[in-house]
Amino acid sequence: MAEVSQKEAVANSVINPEAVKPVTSGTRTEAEQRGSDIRDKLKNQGARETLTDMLKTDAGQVSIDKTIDGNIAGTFDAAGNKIRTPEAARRFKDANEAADKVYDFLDKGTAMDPAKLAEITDDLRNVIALVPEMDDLLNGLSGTQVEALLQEKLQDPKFREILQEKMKGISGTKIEDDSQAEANRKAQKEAERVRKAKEDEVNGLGGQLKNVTDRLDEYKSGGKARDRLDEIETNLPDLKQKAEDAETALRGIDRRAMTYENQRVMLLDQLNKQYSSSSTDITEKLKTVDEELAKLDKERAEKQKVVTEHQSQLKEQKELKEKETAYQKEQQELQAKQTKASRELSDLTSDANELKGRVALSDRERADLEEKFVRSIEAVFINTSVDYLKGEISAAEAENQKIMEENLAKAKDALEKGVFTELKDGGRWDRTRTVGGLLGKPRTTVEINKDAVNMDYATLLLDGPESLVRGILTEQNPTLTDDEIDEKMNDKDFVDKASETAAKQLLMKRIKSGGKISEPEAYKIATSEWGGKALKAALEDNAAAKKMIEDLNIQGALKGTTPAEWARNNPSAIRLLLSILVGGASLAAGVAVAPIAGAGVALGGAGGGAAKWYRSWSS
Amino acid sequence: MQISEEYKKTLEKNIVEGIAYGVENQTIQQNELADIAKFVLDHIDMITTQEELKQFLADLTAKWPSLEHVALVAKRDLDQQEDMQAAEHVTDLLKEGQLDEALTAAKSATEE
Repeated sequence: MAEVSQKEAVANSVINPEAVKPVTSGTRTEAEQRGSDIRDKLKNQGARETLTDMLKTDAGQVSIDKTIDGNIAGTFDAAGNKIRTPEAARRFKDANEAADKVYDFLDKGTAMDPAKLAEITDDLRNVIALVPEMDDLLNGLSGTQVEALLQEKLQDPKFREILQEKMKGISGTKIEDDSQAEANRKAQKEAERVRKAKEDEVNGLGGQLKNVTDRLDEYKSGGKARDRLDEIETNLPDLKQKAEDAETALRGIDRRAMTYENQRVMLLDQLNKQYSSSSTDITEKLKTVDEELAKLDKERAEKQKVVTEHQSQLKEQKELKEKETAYQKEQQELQAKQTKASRELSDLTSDANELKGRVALSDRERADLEEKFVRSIEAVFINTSVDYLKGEISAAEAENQKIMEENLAKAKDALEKGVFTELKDGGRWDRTRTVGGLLGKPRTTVEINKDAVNMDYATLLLDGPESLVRGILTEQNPTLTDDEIDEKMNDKDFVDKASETAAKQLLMKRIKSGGKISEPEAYKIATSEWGGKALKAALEDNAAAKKMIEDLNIQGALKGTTPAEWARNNPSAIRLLLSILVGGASLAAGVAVAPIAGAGVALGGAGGGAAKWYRSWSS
Repeated sequence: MQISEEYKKTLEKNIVEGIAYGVENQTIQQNELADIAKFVLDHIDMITTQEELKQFLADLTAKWPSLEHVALVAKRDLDQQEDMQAAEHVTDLLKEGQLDEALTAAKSATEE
């Protein structure tokens, strides 16, 4: 029971948040902001409307956020934060801003931030500019009318549907981690470590080599060791002679000393025997002998010093030379080691640089993919506009095709069947051409026969579509007499249907073949009896065109109720209408080659450029 | 017993509040909103009885447990309504002099 009460208390706090909501300060988290937005909607629009709005809240927003975060690479610091390079951070920001714009539009529609809405409207306007007839129309409208027309398109649920579908596709885009790139990155790190160790080794050897070279430098002219050796070698000949003399003298000293020693032994012996009587004399003699011995010792020491000096210098000379040899050997060994280590360092540096290059290449490739991904979000409104317009035109074309099939199905006789078949297939204005054959198999292509189109177009403008129908009947049935042709041409139902279809098909061929319907020509068609009838009749059958007229009426771009009135009011609108009536052939042809799969990158969001691109293609 | 349109509006409001709370506390993710909204809008208009309402709430909380609080409040409302109806029924029986039936009805309501 207690548990239920507690739960109820929580439940009450959930559904009555104002009563218990703690006072918070500081910035709201994203989640808190979203919760608050839902409450605001509930308060302003009611629960039902808020739930309906949630239906539109595609999972895409969260999904695209995650996709962007995952697709724009970075490294993780110790705290687990993703660290991006300045370039990657810029891409991350651009992608999020573009995605936010999309979801802001999906959430608020044309009530979104006016500056962002203007960008979206520009995208649609730029795509429309790809179609000369539509571009002409927009140029013929006032700024307010254009704005209203574009906003109406943006509010079309179909536009929104296409946009959501595209964002869904983008959300599913995953830039895969290149496993080889990761392996290269690791290998490059290890290679750099090994290279650095080798560099330290080479530097260490360089230090040792310098040390030994410094020591060897002492043996060079002017060096301390060289000076000493030179000094010794200069001294040695004289010193050697002196030492030899000293040794000879030493031998004489030894001999004399031995004699004095013998005398001393004898005197001591005598002294022992005659101690009491004549000892004074002996003692005097002993004193003299000791003095002589002392002199000899002194003399020996002097001579010995000379000998020792000679030996010492010989030893010093030998040691200095041995050291020089040892230093030279050490220098050679160190030089060999340094050469080997330097070669190894060169190889390791080369390996490390190659890996560094590979990593840089991988990074660049990855950056390119990320740029494309960002551009796919930035260009989503352009691509949506392209698909949206393409869809509108396809629908119009499908309706036209349906009408022609119905005409054919309702044909009352072989004559009608023949005429409607030719008009449906459009073969009258086509010709086959064989291409290739020199190197490969010849191919037969079907193309529009411009001469035939131009000739019939002139007939249409001068004499009206009935002349065209009569011509077709005559050509298809050469055995019929003029009276028989006249009889068929008196069948009003047939002539009306065939005339309308012939005019539409011919105008379509005219546009498809790159021919223009000038404003005066459009005016002539719309104000002619047959043109007015054809336009009115076609409008009844063509929902897309009908909607277009309604839209234009709403915008005030077409005043009146008949094509003649519309033409007088806005000739460029009539050109567009003609285009739509014949299936919007030019638009369909134009957008068919737009780089939709490439996220519209080639369009680049630049309307002028896009229109130029279209025109260069279509001319 | 019939569920009134007015009560369903209250329930819708409570559900939206529950969603807002869940979003704030991140027990409901943004990508679940469309599904929850679809489920509610698809079912709520068809609810006419208490049993259907209970089933709706059971299904809702099975799919999104964080909306359990909303279901709890709705259940409390239902219980209160049932109690009131039982009391009215007992009072009616007493007025009609059906003492035994009234006692049985009261006992039955208490046991429930």
